[in-house]
Amino acid sequence: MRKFGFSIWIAPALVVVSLLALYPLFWAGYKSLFDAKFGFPEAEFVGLGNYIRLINSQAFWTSLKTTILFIVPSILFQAALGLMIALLLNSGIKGKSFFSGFFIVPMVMMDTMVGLTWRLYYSQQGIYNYFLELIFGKPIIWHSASWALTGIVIAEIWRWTPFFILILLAGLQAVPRELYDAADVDGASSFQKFRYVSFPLLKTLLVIGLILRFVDAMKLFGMIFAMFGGGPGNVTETLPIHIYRTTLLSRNLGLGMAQAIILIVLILITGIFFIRLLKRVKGVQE
Amino acid sequence: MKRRKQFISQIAVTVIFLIFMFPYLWMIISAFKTRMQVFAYPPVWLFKPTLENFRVVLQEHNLLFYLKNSFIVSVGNTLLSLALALPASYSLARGKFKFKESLGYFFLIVQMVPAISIVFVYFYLAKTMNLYDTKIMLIIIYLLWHVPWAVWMTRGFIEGVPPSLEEAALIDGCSRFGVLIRIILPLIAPGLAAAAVFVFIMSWNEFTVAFLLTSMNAKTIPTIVSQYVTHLGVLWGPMFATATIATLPAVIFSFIFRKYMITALTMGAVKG
Repeated sequence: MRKFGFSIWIAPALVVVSLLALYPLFWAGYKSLFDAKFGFPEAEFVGLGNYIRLINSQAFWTSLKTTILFIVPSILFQAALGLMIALLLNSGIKGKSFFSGFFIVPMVMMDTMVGLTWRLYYSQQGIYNYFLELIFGKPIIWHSASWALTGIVIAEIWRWTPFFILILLAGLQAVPRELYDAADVDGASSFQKFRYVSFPLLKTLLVIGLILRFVDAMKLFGMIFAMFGGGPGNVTETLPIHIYRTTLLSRNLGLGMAQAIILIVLILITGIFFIRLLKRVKGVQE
Repeated sequence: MKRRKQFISQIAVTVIFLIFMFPYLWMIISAFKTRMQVFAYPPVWLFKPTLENFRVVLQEHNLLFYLKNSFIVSVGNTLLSLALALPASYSLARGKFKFKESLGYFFLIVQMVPAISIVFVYFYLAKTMNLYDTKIMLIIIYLLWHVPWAVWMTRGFIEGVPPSLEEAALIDGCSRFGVLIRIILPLIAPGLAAAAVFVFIMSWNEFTVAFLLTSMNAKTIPTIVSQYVTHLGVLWGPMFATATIATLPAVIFSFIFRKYMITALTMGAVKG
Protein backbone atom coordinates (compact mmCIF):
# COMPACT_ATOMS: atom_id res chain seq x y z
CA MET A 1 0.00 0.00 0.00
CA ARG A 2 2.75 2.43 0.99
CA LYS A 3 4.39 1.72 -2.30
CA PHE A 4 1.57 3.34 -4.24
CA GLY A 5 0.64 6.00 -1.70
CA PHE A 6 1.60 8.58 -4.27
CA SER A 7 -1.38 7.57 -6.40
CA ILE A 8 -3.34 10.10 -4.37
CA TRP A 9 -1.25 12.85 -5.98
CA ILE A 10 -3.83 12.94 -8.69
CA ALA A 11 -6.37 14.31 -6.19
CA PRO A 12 -5.61 18.07 -6.23
CA ALA A 13 -5.76 18.30 -10.03
CA LEU A 14 -8.83 16.09 -10.12
CA VAL A 15 -10.70 18.15 -7.52
CA VAL A 16 -9.85 21.50 -9.10
CA VAL A 17 -10.71 20.40 -12.63
CA SER A 18 -13.92 18.63 -11.57
CA LEU A 19 -15.16 21.67 -9.66
CA LEU A 20 -14.30 24.03 -12.49
CA ALA A 21 -16.01 21.82 -15.08
CA LEU A 22 -18.96 20.27 -13.28
CA TYR A 23 -20.21 23.36 -11.50
CA PRO A 24 -20.86 25.33 -14.71
CA LEU A 25 -22.25 22.22 -16.41
CA PHE A 26 -24.88 21.72 -13.71
CA TRP A 27 -25.58 25.44 -13.54
CA ALA A 28 -26.06 25.69 -17.31
CA GLY A 29 -28.19 22.54 -17.31
CA TYR A 30 -30.29 23.92 -14.46
CA LYS A 31 -30.76 27.35 -16.04
CA SER A 32 -31.75 25.74 -19.33
CA LEU A 33 -34.91 24.54 -17.58
CA PHE A 34 -36.00 28.11 -16.82
CA ASP A 35 -37.33 30.95 -18.85
CA ALA A 36 -34.43 33.01 -17.50
CA LYS A 37 -33.39 36.41 -18.80
CA PHE A 38 -29.77 37.56 -18.65
CA GLY A 39 -29.44 40.13 -15.89
CA PHE A 40 -32.80 39.41 -14.24
CA PRO A 41 -33.01 37.16 -11.19
CA GLU A 42 -36.61 35.91 -11.40
CA ALA A 43 -37.41 33.13 -13.83
CA GLU A 44 -40.23 30.73 -14.47
CA PHE A 45 -39.64 26.98 -14.56
CA VAL A 46 -40.43 25.67 -18.03
CA GLY A 47 -39.03 22.14 -17.86
CA LEU A 48 -37.79 21.06 -21.25
CA GLY A 49 -39.57 24.01 -22.84
CA ASN A 50 -36.36 25.63 -24.03
CA TYR A 51 -35.22 22.44 -25.73
CA ILE A 52 -38.59 22.09 -27.45
CA ARG A 53 -38.30 25.71 -28.55
CA LEU A 54 -34.91 24.92 -30.04
CA ILE A 55 -36.22 21.97 -32.03
CA ASN A 56 -38.80 24.29 -33.54
CA SER A 57 -36.38 27.19 -33.96
CA GLN A 58 -35.39 28.00 -37.52
CA ALA A 59 -32.45 30.11 -36.29
CA PHE A 60 -31.03 27.22 -34.26
CA TRP A 61 -31.13 24.76 -37.18
CA THR A 62 -29.64 27.38 -39.46
CA SER A 63 -26.74 27.93 -37.08
CA LEU A 64 -26.23 24.17 -36.81
CA LYS A 65 -26.17 23.96 -40.60
CA THR A 66 -23.72 26.90 -40.75
CA THR A 67 -21.48 25.13 -38.24
CA ILE A 68 -21.38 22.00 -40.40
CA LEU A 69 -20.87 24.05 -43.58
CA PHE A 70 -17.99 25.76 -41.84
CA ILE A 71 -16.34 22.69 -40.32
CA VAL A 72 -16.61 20.00 -42.97
CA PRO A 73 -14.98 21.86 -45.88
CA SER A 74 -12.41 23.38 -43.48
CA ILE A 75 -11.11 20.12 -42.07
CA LEU A 76 -11.30 18.16 -45.34
CA PHE A 77 -9.26 20.79 -47.18
CA GLN A 78 -6.83 21.00 -44.26
CA ALA A 79 -6.27 17.25 -44.37
CA ALA A 80 -5.98 17.06 -48.17
CA LEU A 81 -3.67 20.08 -48.47
CA GLY A 82 -1.72 18.99 -45.42
CA LEU A 83 -1.16 15.54 -46.93
CA MET A 84 -0.09 17.02 -50.25
CA ILE A 85 2.37 19.44 -48.67
CA ALA A 86 3.73 16.81 -46.27
CA LEU A 87 4.42 14.50 -49.24
CA LEU A 88 6.17 17.35 -51.06
CA LEU A 89 8.25 18.19 -47.99
CA ASN A 90 9.20 14.54 -47.63
CA SER A 91 10.29 14.15 -51.25
CA GLY A 92 13.92 14.99 -50.53
CA ILE A 93 13.74 18.76 -50.96
CA LYS A 94 16.19 21.18 -49.40
CA GLY A 95 15.33 23.17 -46.27
CA LYS A 96 12.71 20.78 -44.91
CA SER A 97 13.24 21.73 -41.28
CA PHE A 98 13.27 25.43 -42.13
CA PHE A 99 9.89 25.13 -43.85
CA SER A 100 8.26 22.94 -41.21
CA GLY A 101 9.67 25.22 -38.50
CA PHE A 102 7.90 28.26 -39.90
CA PHE A 103 4.67 26.50 -40.84
CA ILE A 104 3.69 26.74 -37.14
CA VAL A 105 3.13 30.50 -37.41
CA PRO A 106 -0.57 30.45 -38.44
CA MET A 107 -1.42 27.99 -35.67
CA VAL A 108 -0.02 29.99 -32.79
CA MET A 109 -1.36 33.37 -33.89
CA MET A 110 -4.02 34.84 -31.64
CA ASP A 111 -7.35 33.96 -33.27
CA THR A 112 -8.83 37.42 -32.71
CA MET A 113 -5.85 39.01 -34.42
CA VAL A 114 -6.26 36.64 -37.36
CA GLY A 115 -9.91 37.66 -37.51
CA LEU A 116 -9.24 41.37 -37.39
CA THR A 117 -6.32 41.46 -39.83
CA TRP A 118 -8.17 39.26 -42.32
CA ARG A 119 -11.15 41.57 -42.02
CA LEU A 120 -9.07 44.24 -43.72
CA TYR A 121 -7.48 41.78 -46.15
CA TYR A 122 -11.01 40.79 -47.20
CA SER A 123 -12.28 44.34 -47.63
CA GLN A 124 -13.40 45.59 -51.04
CA GLN A 125 -10.01 47.13 -51.78
CA GLY A 126 -8.08 44.68 -49.65
CA ILE A 127 -4.96 42.79 -50.52
CA TYR A 128 -6.81 39.57 -51.46
CA ASN A 129 -8.97 41.36 -53.97
CA TYR A 130 -5.84 42.94 -55.40
CA PHE A 131 -4.44 39.47 -56.12
CA LEU A 132 -7.80 38.23 -57.42
CA GLU A 133 -8.01 41.14 -59.82
CA LEU A 134 -4.44 40.53 -60.89
CA ILE A 135 -5.05 36.84 -61.60
CA PHE A 136 -8.74 36.59 -62.51
CA GLY A 137 -9.52 40.22 -63.30
CA LYS A 138 -12.45 40.20 -60.88
CA PRO A 139 -12.70 41.03 -57.16
CA ILE A 140 -14.96 39.24 -54.67
CA ILE A 141 -17.21 41.01 -52.16
CA TRP A 142 -16.06 38.92 -49.22
CA HIS A 143 -18.35 40.41 -46.59
CA SER A 144 -21.45 39.58 -48.65
CA ALA A 145 -23.97 36.89 -47.82
CA SER A 146 -22.65 34.61 -50.55
CA TRP A 147 -18.96 34.82 -49.67
CA ALA A 148 -18.53 35.54 -45.93
CA LEU A 149 -18.70 31.88 -44.86
CA THR A 150 -16.22 30.91 -47.58
CA GLY A 151 -13.94 33.65 -46.27
CA ILE A 152 -14.00 32.14 -42.81
CA VAL A 153 -13.44 28.65 -44.17
CA ILE A 154 -10.36 29.89 -46.07
CA ALA A 155 -8.96 31.55 -42.96
CA GLU A 156 -9.51 28.36 -40.97
CA ILE A 157 -7.83 26.29 -43.69
CA TRP A 158 -4.91 28.69 -43.58
CA ARG A 159 -4.65 28.40 -39.80
CA TRP A 160 -4.77 24.64 -39.47
CA THR A 161 -3.40 23.05 -42.65
CA PRO A 162 0.05 23.29 -40.99
CA PHE A 163 -1.29 21.04 -38.23
CA PHE A 164 -1.84 18.23 -40.75
CA ILE A 165 1.46 19.00 -42.47
CA LEU A 166 3.35 18.49 -39.22
CA ILE A 167 1.64 15.33 -37.97
CA LEU A 168 1.63 13.69 -41.41
CA LEU A 169 5.27 14.61 -42.00
CA ALA A 170 6.14 13.00 -38.67
CA GLY A 171 4.18 9.95 -39.78
CA LEU A 172 5.92 9.79 -43.16
CA GLN A 173 9.32 10.02 -41.55
CA ALA A 174 8.44 7.12 -39.28
CA VAL A 175 7.77 4.80 -42.25
CA PRO A 176 10.64 2.29 -42.31
CA ARG A 177 12.92 2.77 -45.33
CA GLU A 178 12.89 -1.02 -46.01
CA LEU A 179 9.20 -0.92 -46.89
CA TYR A 180 9.89 1.47 -49.77
CA ASP A 181 12.92 -0.56 -50.85
CA ALA A 182 10.82 -3.70 -50.89
CA ALA A 183 8.18 -1.88 -52.96
CA ASP A 184 10.92 -0.74 -55.37
CA VAL A 185 12.07 -4.33 -55.81
CA ASP A 186 8.51 -5.27 -56.68
CA GLY A 187 8.51 -2.49 -59.28
CA ALA A 188 5.87 -0.29 -57.63
CA SER A 189 5.17 3.18 -59.05
CA SER A 190 5.34 6.21 -56.73
CA PHE A 191 1.55 6.31 -56.60
CA GLN A 192 1.42 2.63 -55.66
CA LYS A 193 4.07 3.21 -53.02
CA PHE A 194 1.93 5.96 -51.56
CA ARG A 195 -1.30 3.97 -51.80
CA TYR A 196 -0.02 0.69 -50.37
CA VAL A 197 2.92 1.71 -48.14
CA SER A 198 2.53 5.26 -46.78
CA PHE A 199 -1.22 5.71 -46.70
CA PRO A 200 -2.16 2.75 -44.47
CA LEU A 201 0.33 4.07 -41.91
CA LEU A 202 -0.97 7.63 -42.17
CA LYS A 203 -4.64 6.68 -41.90
CA THR A 204 -4.74 6.71 -38.09
CA LEU A 205 -2.94 10.06 -37.98
CA LEU A 206 -5.47 11.50 -40.42
CA VAL A 207 -8.41 10.32 -38.31
CA ILE A 208 -6.84 11.63 -35.07
CA GLY A 209 -6.16 14.96 -36.78
CA LEU A 210 -9.67 15.22 -38.22
CA ILE A 211 -11.34 14.53 -34.86
CA LEU A 212 -9.16 17.03 -32.98
CA ARG A 213 -9.76 19.68 -35.61
CA PHE A 214 -13.48 18.94 -35.61
CA VAL A 215 -13.71 19.50 -31.85
CA ASP A 216 -11.65 22.67 -32.01
CA ALA A 217 -13.64 24.11 -34.90
CA MET A 218 -16.90 23.41 -33.04
CA LYS A 219 -15.65 25.68 -30.25
CA LEU A 220 -14.22 28.44 -32.45
CA PHE A 221 -15.50 31.83 -31.37
CA GLY A 222 -12.84 34.56 -31.40
CA MET A 223 -11.81 34.47 -35.05
CA ILE A 224 -15.35 34.52 -36.45
CA PHE A 225 -16.37 37.13 -33.91
CA ALA A 226 -13.52 39.44 -34.91
CA MET A 227 -13.75 38.83 -38.65
CA PHE A 228 -17.45 39.02 -39.49
CA GLY A 229 -19.09 38.85 -36.06
CA GLY A 230 -21.56 36.22 -37.28
CA GLY A 231 -22.78 38.47 -40.05
CA PRO A 232 -23.77 39.72 -42.49
CA GLY A 233 -27.13 38.83 -40.96
CA ASN A 234 -26.57 35.31 -39.68
CA VAL A 235 -24.44 34.00 -42.55
CA THR A 236 -21.42 33.21 -40.37
CA GLU A 237 -23.40 32.50 -37.22
CA THR A 238 -21.98 29.17 -36.07
CA LEU A 239 -23.25 27.56 -32.88
CA PRO A 240 -20.86 29.40 -30.50
CA ILE A 241 -21.81 32.76 -32.06
CA HIS A 242 -25.49 31.75 -31.87
CA ILE A 243 -25.09 30.99 -28.15
CA TYR A 244 -23.41 34.36 -27.64
CA ARG A 245 -26.11 36.23 -29.51
CA THR A 246 -28.99 34.40 -27.82
CA THR A 247 -27.59 34.78 -24.31
CA LEU A 248 -26.05 38.21 -24.35
CA LEU A 249 -27.65 40.16 -27.17
CA SER A 250 -31.19 38.74 -26.93
CA ARG A 251 -30.76 38.18 -23.15
CA ASN A 252 -32.40 34.75 -23.42
CA LEU A 253 -30.27 33.07 -20.77
CA GLY A 254 -32.42 29.93 -20.49
CA LEU A 255 -32.53 29.34 -24.22
CA GLY A 256 -28.84 30.14 -24.58
CA MET A 257 -27.92 27.62 -21.90
CA ALA A 258 -30.00 24.96 -23.64
CA GLN A 259 -27.92 25.63 -26.77
CA ALA A 260 -24.76 25.52 -24.67
CA ILE A 261 -25.73 22.09 -23.33
CA ILE A 262 -26.40 20.83 -26.85
CA LEU A 263 -22.99 22.07 -28.00
CA ILE A 264 -21.34 20.27 -25.08
CA VAL A 265 -23.22 17.04 -25.85
CA LEU A 266 -22.16 17.19 -29.52
CA ILE A 267 -18.55 17.68 -28.48
CA LEU A 268 -18.74 14.89 -25.88
CA ILE A 269 -19.97 12.45 -28.51
CA THR A 270 -17.01 13.38 -30.73
CA GLY A 271 -14.71 13.08 -27.72
CA ILE A 272 -15.90 9.55 -27.01
CA PHE A 273 -15.09 8.56 -30.60
CA PHE A 274 -11.64 10.02 -30.07
CA ILE A 275 -11.05 8.03 -26.89
CA ARG A 276 -12.13 4.80 -28.58
CA LEU A 277 -9.67 5.48 -31.35
CA LEU A 278 -6.87 6.29 -28.90
CA LYS A 279 -7.50 3.05 -27.03
CA ARG A 280 -7.25 1.12 -30.28
CA VAL A 281 -4.04 2.90 -31.28
CA LYS A 282 -2.50 2.25 -27.86
CA GLY A 283 -3.57 -1.38 -28.04
CA VAL A 284 -1.77 -1.76 -31.37
CA GLN A 285 1.39 -0.11 -30.05
CA GLU A 286 1.63 -2.30 -26.95
CA MET B 1 14.05 12.84 -64.72
CA LYS B 2 14.37 12.38 -60.99
CA ARG B 3 16.28 15.65 -60.64
CA ARG B 4 13.69 17.54 -62.62
CA LYS B 5 10.95 16.20 -60.36
CA GLN B 6 12.97 17.23 -57.33
CA PHE B 7 13.34 20.73 -58.76
CA ILE B 8 9.60 21.08 -59.36
CA SER B 9 8.87 19.92 -55.80
CA GLN B 10 11.31 22.48 -54.46
CA ILE B 11 9.62 25.28 -56.38
CA ALA B 12 6.13 24.10 -55.37
CA VAL B 13 7.02 23.94 -51.66
CA THR B 14 8.61 27.38 -51.76
CA VAL B 15 5.56 28.93 -53.43
CA ILE B 16 3.12 27.24 -51.02
CA PHE B 17 5.29 28.30 -48.10
CA LEU B 18 5.28 31.92 -49.23
CA ILE B 19 1.49 31.86 -49.63
CA PHE B 20 1.15 30.55 -46.08
CA MET B 21 3.51 33.13 -44.63
CA PHE B 22 2.00 36.01 -46.56
CA PRO B 23 -0.90 37.00 -44.23
CA TYR B 24 1.51 37.11 -41.30
CA LEU B 25 4.23 39.03 -43.14
CA TRP B 26 1.67 41.45 -44.59
CA MET B 27 0.45 42.18 -41.07
CA ILE B 28 3.99 43.07 -39.97
CA ILE B 29 4.62 45.11 -43.12
CA SER B 30 1.35 47.02 -42.65
CA ALA B 31 2.29 47.88 -39.09
CA PHE B 32 5.06 50.06 -40.45
CA LYS B 33 2.86 51.96 -42.89
CA THR B 34 1.18 55.34 -42.61
CA ARG B 35 -2.61 55.53 -42.62
CA MET B 36 -2.67 56.44 -46.29
CA GLN B 37 -0.36 53.59 -47.22
CA VAL B 38 -2.43 50.98 -45.33
CA PHE B 39 -5.44 51.86 -47.47
CA ALA B 40 -3.60 52.45 -50.74
CA TYR B 41 -4.98 50.55 -53.69
CA PRO B 42 -3.18 49.02 -55.48
CA PRO B 43 -1.14 48.23 -52.34
CA VAL B 44 2.20 49.88 -51.71
CA TRP B 45 5.11 47.44 -51.66
CA LEU B 46 8.01 49.80 -51.25
CA PHE B 47 7.80 52.61 -48.72
CA LYS B 48 9.74 54.32 -45.97
CA PRO B 49 8.81 52.45 -42.75
CA THR B 50 7.42 54.50 -39.89
CA LEU B 51 7.22 53.68 -36.19
CA GLU B 52 4.26 56.00 -35.72
CA ASN B 53 1.74 53.15 -35.21
CA PHE B 54 3.86 51.64 -32.46
CA ARG B 55 4.17 55.02 -30.78
CA VAL B 56 0.40 55.48 -30.90
CA VAL B 57 -0.43 52.08 -29.36
CA LEU B 58 2.18 52.41 -26.63
CA GLN B 59 1.48 56.02 -25.71
CA GLU B 60 -2.17 56.63 -26.56
CA HIS B 61 -3.71 53.17 -26.30
CA ASN B 62 -1.81 52.08 -23.21
CA LEU B 63 -0.72 48.80 -24.75
CA LEU B 64 1.88 48.17 -22.04
CA PHE B 65 -0.89 47.94 -19.45
CA TYR B 66 -2.66 45.16 -21.36
CA LEU B 67 0.61 43.43 -22.10
CA LYS B 68 1.32 43.41 -18.39
CA ASN B 69 -2.14 41.96 -17.66
CA SER B 70 -1.67 39.26 -20.28
CA PHE B 71 1.75 38.47 -18.91
CA ILE B 72 0.60 38.18 -15.28
CA VAL B 73 -2.40 36.01 -16.20
CA SER B 74 -0.34 33.77 -18.47
CA VAL B 75 2.56 33.27 -16.07
CA GLY B 76 0.26 32.77 -13.08
CA ASN B 77 -1.85 30.24 -14.91
CA THR B 78 1.19 28.41 -16.29
CA LEU B 79 2.79 27.99 -12.87
CA LEU B 80 -0.45 26.84 -11.22
CA SER B 81 -1.31 24.49 -14.09
CA LEU B 82 2.03 22.74 -13.94
CA ALA B 83 2.08 22.59 -10.14
CA LEU B 84 -1.26 20.75 -10.24
CA ALA B 85 -0.56 18.69 -13.34
CA LEU B 86 2.87 17.34 -12.53
CA PRO B 87 1.97 15.24 -9.45
CA ALA B 88 -1.21 14.10 -11.20
CA SER B 89 0.61 12.97 -14.30
CA TYR B 90 3.22 11.17 -12.18
CA SER B 91 0.42 9.36 -10.43
CA LEU B 92 -1.16 8.43 -13.77
CA ALA B 93 2.16 7.35 -15.25
CA ARG B 94 3.44 5.25 -12.36
CA GLY B 95 0.51 4.51 -10.07
CA LYS B 96 -1.52 1.32 -10.11
CA PHE B 97 -5.07 1.98 -9.03
CA LYS B 98 -8.63 1.36 -10.09
CA PHE B 99 -10.11 3.64 -12.75
CA LYS B 100 -6.67 5.01 -13.57
CA GLU B 101 -7.29 4.94 -17.32
CA SER B 102 -10.81 6.33 -16.93
CA LEU B 103 -9.47 9.26 -14.92
CA GLY B 104 -6.97 9.95 -17.66
CA TYR B 105 -9.76 10.00 -20.22
CA PHE B 106 -11.87 12.19 -17.93
CA PHE B 107 -9.13 14.82 -18.18
CA LEU B 108 -9.08 14.42 -21.93
CA ILE B 109 -12.83 14.95 -22.26
CA VAL B 110 -12.97 17.88 -19.84
CA GLN B 111 -10.32 19.64 -21.88
CA MET B 112 -12.78 19.67 -24.81
CA VAL B 113 -15.51 21.66 -23.01
CA PRO B 114 -16.19 24.79 -25.07
CA ALA B 115 -15.52 28.12 -23.36
CA ILE B 116 -18.65 29.74 -24.78
CA SER B 117 -20.87 27.12 -23.10
CA ILE B 118 -19.67 27.81 -19.59
CA VAL B 119 -18.42 31.37 -19.63
CA PHE B 120 -21.82 32.83 -18.67
CA VAL B 121 -21.88 30.74 -15.51
CA TYR B 122 -18.56 32.23 -14.57
CA PHE B 123 -19.83 35.66 -15.39
CA TYR B 124 -22.52 35.28 -12.69
CA LEU B 125 -20.13 33.61 -10.28
CA ALA B 126 -17.53 36.34 -10.73
CA LYS B 127 -20.15 39.04 -10.16
CA THR B 128 -21.44 37.49 -6.92
CA MET B 129 -17.93 36.80 -5.61
CA ASN B 130 -16.67 40.26 -6.59
CA LEU B 131 -14.12 38.68 -8.87
CA TYR B 132 -15.43 40.21 -12.09
CA ASP B 133 -12.68 41.97 -14.02
CA THR B 134 -9.87 40.47 -11.95
CA LYS B 135 -6.79 38.66 -13.18
CA ILE B 136 -7.11 35.95 -10.53
CA MET B 137 -10.48 34.89 -11.97
CA LEU B 138 -8.94 34.34 -15.39
CA ILE B 139 -5.98 32.48 -13.88
CA ILE B 140 -8.35 30.10 -12.10
CA ILE B 141 -10.80 29.49 -14.95
CA TYR B 142 -8.03 28.68 -17.42
CA LEU B 143 -6.99 25.83 -15.13
CA LEU B 144 -10.05 23.96 -16.37
CA TRP B 145 -8.42 23.46 -19.79
CA HIS B 146 -4.74 23.81 -19.06
CA VAL B 147 -4.38 21.36 -16.15
CA PRO B 148 -5.87 18.43 -18.13
CA TRP B 149 -3.84 19.45 -21.15
CA ALA B 150 -0.60 19.58 -19.13
CA VAL B 151 -1.43 16.23 -17.49
CA TRP B 152 -1.67 14.57 -20.89
CA MET B 153 1.42 16.24 -22.19
CA THR B 154 3.71 15.51 -19.21
CA ARG B 155 2.38 12.02 -18.58
CA GLY B 156 3.95 10.87 -21.82
CA PHE B 157 7.30 12.36 -20.86
CA ILE B 158 7.27 10.66 -17.45
CA GLU B 159 6.32 7.32 -18.99
CA GLY B 160 9.39 7.72 -21.19
CA VAL B 161 11.70 7.65 -18.15
CA PRO B 162 12.89 4.08 -17.37
CA PRO B 163 11.36 2.98 -14.01
CA SER B 164 14.64 1.28 -13.07
CA LEU B 165 16.18 4.69 -12.33
CA GLU B 166 13.49 5.42 -9.79
CA GLU B 167 13.64 1.99 -8.19
CA ALA B 168 17.34 2.41 -7.51
CA ALA B 169 16.69 5.73 -5.77
CA LEU B 170 13.77 4.29 -3.79
CA ILE B 171 15.98 1.46 -2.52
CA ASP B 172 18.53 4.06 -1.45
CA GLY B 173 15.81 5.52 0.78
CA CYS B 174 14.64 8.36 -1.39
CA SER B 175 10.96 9.32 -0.94
CA ARG B 176 8.51 9.32 -3.83
CA PHE B 177 8.45 13.09 -3.80
CA GLY B 178 12.24 13.13 -3.80
CA VAL B 179 12.17 10.83 -6.82
CA LEU B 180 9.83 13.15 -8.66
CA ILE B 181 11.92 16.23 -7.90
CA ARG B 182 15.43 14.82 -8.13
CA ILE B 183 15.16 12.16 -10.81
CA ILE B 184 12.09 12.72 -12.97
CA LEU B 185 12.18 16.51 -13.11
CA PRO B 186 15.72 16.89 -14.47
CA LEU B 187 15.11 14.15 -17.03
CA ILE B 188 11.90 15.61 -18.41
CA ALA B 189 13.02 19.24 -18.04
CA PRO B 190 13.01 20.05 -21.79
CA GLY B 191 9.56 18.53 -22.22
CA LEU B 192 8.32 20.32 -19.12
CA ALA B 193 9.65 23.61 -20.43
CA ALA B 194 7.81 22.96 -23.69
CA ALA B 195 4.60 22.22 -21.78
CA ALA B 196 5.04 25.47 -19.85
CA VAL B 197 5.57 27.42 -23.05
CA PHE B 198 2.45 26.01 -24.69
CA VAL B 199 0.28 26.63 -21.63
CA PHE B 200 1.62 30.17 -21.64
CA ILE B 201 0.69 30.59 -25.30
CA MET B 202 -2.82 29.20 -24.76
CA SER B 203 -3.39 31.65 -21.88
CA TRP B 204 -1.86 34.47 -23.86
CA ASN B 205 -4.17 33.85 -26.82
CA GLU B 206 -7.40 33.05 -24.95
CA PHE B 207 -10.26 35.31 -25.96
CA THR B 208 -13.77 34.08 -25.05
CA VAL B 209 -13.41 34.01 -21.25
CA ALA B 210 -11.25 37.12 -21.04
CA PHE B 211 -13.65 39.02 -23.29
CA LEU B 212 -16.73 38.28 -21.18
CA LEU B 213 -15.15 38.44 -17.72
CA THR B 214 -13.12 41.64 -17.94
CA SER B 215 -14.04 45.23 -18.65
CA MET B 216 -11.18 47.50 -17.58
CA ASN B 217 -8.58 46.48 -15.05
CA ALA B 218 -7.92 42.90 -16.11
CA LYS B 219 -8.34 43.23 -19.87
CA THR B 220 -5.82 41.11 -21.75
CA ILE B 221 -4.36 41.68 -25.22
CA PRO B 222 -6.81 39.59 -27.29
CA THR B 223 -9.79 41.50 -25.88
CA ILE B 224 -8.64 45.00 -26.80
CA VAL B 225 -9.62 44.33 -30.40
CA SER B 226 -12.79 46.37 -29.94
CA GLN B 227 -10.74 49.42 -28.94
CA TYR B 228 -9.63 49.87 -32.50
CA VAL B 229 -13.15 49.81 -33.86
CA THR B 230 -14.23 53.43 -33.39
CA HIS B 231 -17.01 55.60 -34.80
CA LEU B 232 -14.46 56.75 -37.38
CA GLY B 233 -13.96 53.17 -38.57
CA VAL B 234 -11.23 50.74 -37.62
CA LEU B 235 -7.86 52.25 -36.70
CA TRP B 236 -5.96 49.84 -38.93
CA GLY B 237 -2.44 51.15 -38.43
CA PRO B 238 -2.48 50.82 -34.63
CA MET B 239 -4.36 47.54 -34.99
CA PHE B 240 -1.58 46.03 -37.13
CA ALA B 241 1.05 47.31 -34.70
CA THR B 242 -0.84 45.70 -31.81
CA ALA B 243 -1.26 42.45 -33.71
CA THR B 244 2.43 42.39 -34.51
CA ILE B 245 3.43 42.86 -30.87
CA ALA B 246 0.72 40.52 -29.56
CA THR B 247 1.60 37.59 -31.79
CA LEU B 248 5.36 37.88 -31.42
CA PRO B 249 5.85 35.99 -28.11
CA ALA B 250 3.81 33.00 -29.27
CA VAL B 251 5.61 32.84 -32.60
CA ILE B 252 9.10 33.06 -31.09
CA PHE B 253 8.47 30.63 -28.22
CA SER B 254 6.73 28.02 -30.32
CA PHE B 255 9.49 28.26 -32.92
CA ILE B 256 12.11 27.55 -30.25
CA PHE B 257 10.08 24.58 -29.00
CA ARG B 258 8.87 23.46 -32.44
CA LYS B 259 10.21 19.95 -31.76
CA TYR B 260 7.37 19.50 -29.24
CA MET B 261 4.72 21.16 -31.38
CA ILE B 262 3.07 17.92 -32.54
CA THR B 263 2.93 16.42 -29.06
CA ALA B 264 1.49 19.70 -27.84
CA LEU B 265 -1.19 19.95 -30.52
CA THR B 266 -2.37 16.38 -30.15
CA MET B 267 -1.96 16.18 -26.36
CA GLY B 268 0.55 13.39 -26.81
CA ALA B 269 -1.71 11.29 -29.05
CA VAL B 270 0.88 11.65 -31.82
CA LYS B 271 4.57 11.67 -31.02
CA GLY B 272 6.62 14.21 -32.92
